[in-house]
Amino acid sequence: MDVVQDMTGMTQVPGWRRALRSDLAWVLVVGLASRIELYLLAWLFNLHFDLGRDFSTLLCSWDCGWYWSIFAHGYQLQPDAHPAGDAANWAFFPLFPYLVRWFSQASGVGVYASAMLITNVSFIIALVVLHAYARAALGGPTARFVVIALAFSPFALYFSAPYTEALYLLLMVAAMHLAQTGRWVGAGLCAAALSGTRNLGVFIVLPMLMLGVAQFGWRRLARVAEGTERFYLGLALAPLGLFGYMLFLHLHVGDALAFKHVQVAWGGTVGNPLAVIADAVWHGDAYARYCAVSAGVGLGVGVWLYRRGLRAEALILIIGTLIPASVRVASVPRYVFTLFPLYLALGLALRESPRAQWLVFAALLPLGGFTIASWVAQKTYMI
Amino acid sequence: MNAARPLALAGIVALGVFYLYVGLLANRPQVGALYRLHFIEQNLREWNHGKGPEYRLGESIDFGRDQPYLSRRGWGRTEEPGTWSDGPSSEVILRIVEPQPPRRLTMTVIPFIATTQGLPSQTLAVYANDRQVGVYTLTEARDMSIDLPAVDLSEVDGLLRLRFEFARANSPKNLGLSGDGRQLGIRLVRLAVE
Repeated sequence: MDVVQDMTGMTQVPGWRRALRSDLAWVLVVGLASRIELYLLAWLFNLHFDLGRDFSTLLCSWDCGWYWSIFAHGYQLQPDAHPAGDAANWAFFPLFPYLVRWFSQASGVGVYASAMLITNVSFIIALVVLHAYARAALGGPTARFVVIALAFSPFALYFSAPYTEALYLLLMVAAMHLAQTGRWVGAGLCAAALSGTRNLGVFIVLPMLMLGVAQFGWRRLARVAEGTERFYLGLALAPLGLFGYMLFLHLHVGDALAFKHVQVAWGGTVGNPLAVIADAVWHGDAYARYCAVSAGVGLGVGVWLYRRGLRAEALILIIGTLIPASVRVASVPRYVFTLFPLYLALGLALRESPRAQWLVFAALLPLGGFTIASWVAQKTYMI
Repeated sequence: MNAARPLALAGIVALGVFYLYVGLLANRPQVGALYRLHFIEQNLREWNHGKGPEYRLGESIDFGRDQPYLSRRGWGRTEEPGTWSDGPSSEVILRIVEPQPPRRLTMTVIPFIATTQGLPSQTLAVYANDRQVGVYTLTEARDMSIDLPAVDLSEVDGLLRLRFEFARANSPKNLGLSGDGRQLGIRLVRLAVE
């Protein structure tokens, strides 16, 4: 029953629903406050550096140009970018740029403004889902800290840039939340969208598999017992976005793996990620070492989370570190520090110490200012 | 029995069939030879805006300088007077701009030999677009002239792929000559196709 009456006959909203509304309002306030802070600082730095950007392109740096090419023109038929002319926008998965493209075409809103709207709405919804997820795993007060830590993280600017990060976060945390609560078809649909958002998205099947084993047990899964078919359908749906994009690429350019093959333009070849990280530490410049340390943090926290029982989340972190590092260490900080399990780990580590949580929050703010300035100024270490 | 169960199982099978179909398409890309070489095999040094390593028949290529014609794999760094092969096989890739087919390959090579260490000669097998055109035993630096079979290059984007295989490639390090670990076969000094 949703509504009850008290002894005076007054209609009352049950406590859990009041709490839910209160949590929802709290998350929305945190999310909006973090975005206001981000845009305010970005605007100030834009003025300070005299960059002349308008509001909709304020956070348009680096790969934003690639996404713009898809927003405006769709996928290329031939590669033509970079000095050798061998780079093409096929490396960028379609769900985010095509949502922007379609929204812009349907609404008449410009593509940058559409991208800004989609990323920020995705991010705010992602915070709401993350709060519910973290509350179930770590309890209410810690969940609030997890949301704050992510929203004000120095890397949270990527969630408002015209990048896939916000949509990726939303779909990933939604897939995990739905799987965790046994809603496997919904989880599979989110996972399908995730694999159409970024090449790494398809690897969500591994943490989903881990959750499925925990829920059903190996024996029931092996027998395909009653009830497990939804789990299998969820898993089977996960690669749909990836394979749909592959089919499109085959029809468009004749090569279903063009998204992978075009990496040659960026000098990417797949190797042993641990060797790539070690090479960056011993032989790399300061940026490569920073990336290698970030990868080390991702792996270390992943192992720690695994030992603390959050195994599916640990797997997200470990996969999210190792797969990008198998090609190159560049951009690894962005990949690692925008993964939500990192913030779950932070919440778990500081669960017993509200003072430490405040200290961390206080440290995040100036770091966030630094990264926002660096992003607006197009510093290479922010790629 | 849950009524949704057959539907779910049918959905899984349908998805599996779709993935298999796309996987087969991925295994058979419908692309040109130049695209395949650069993006799939990743063995071309320069895409050059889709024109590849353009070559005019009769031009002499000096491999003592950086050249776009060498495959990515199978060669060491550029050195004077020529570039050493590194590994059991290497390629020179030419995109012939003229319509007429090439007839003759001439090249100057220096084999890696170390008689006192038990390597008195190198065996060089030459292939043109996967067809063997000769096998040679090299004991010293040599100017070579090799007839090429008539091949229609129009179906392969004008690409002439000259592959060199070295049955006795070895490293100076392995032979105790120096610390150089490259698997040397020949040093390619000069090459021309006419």
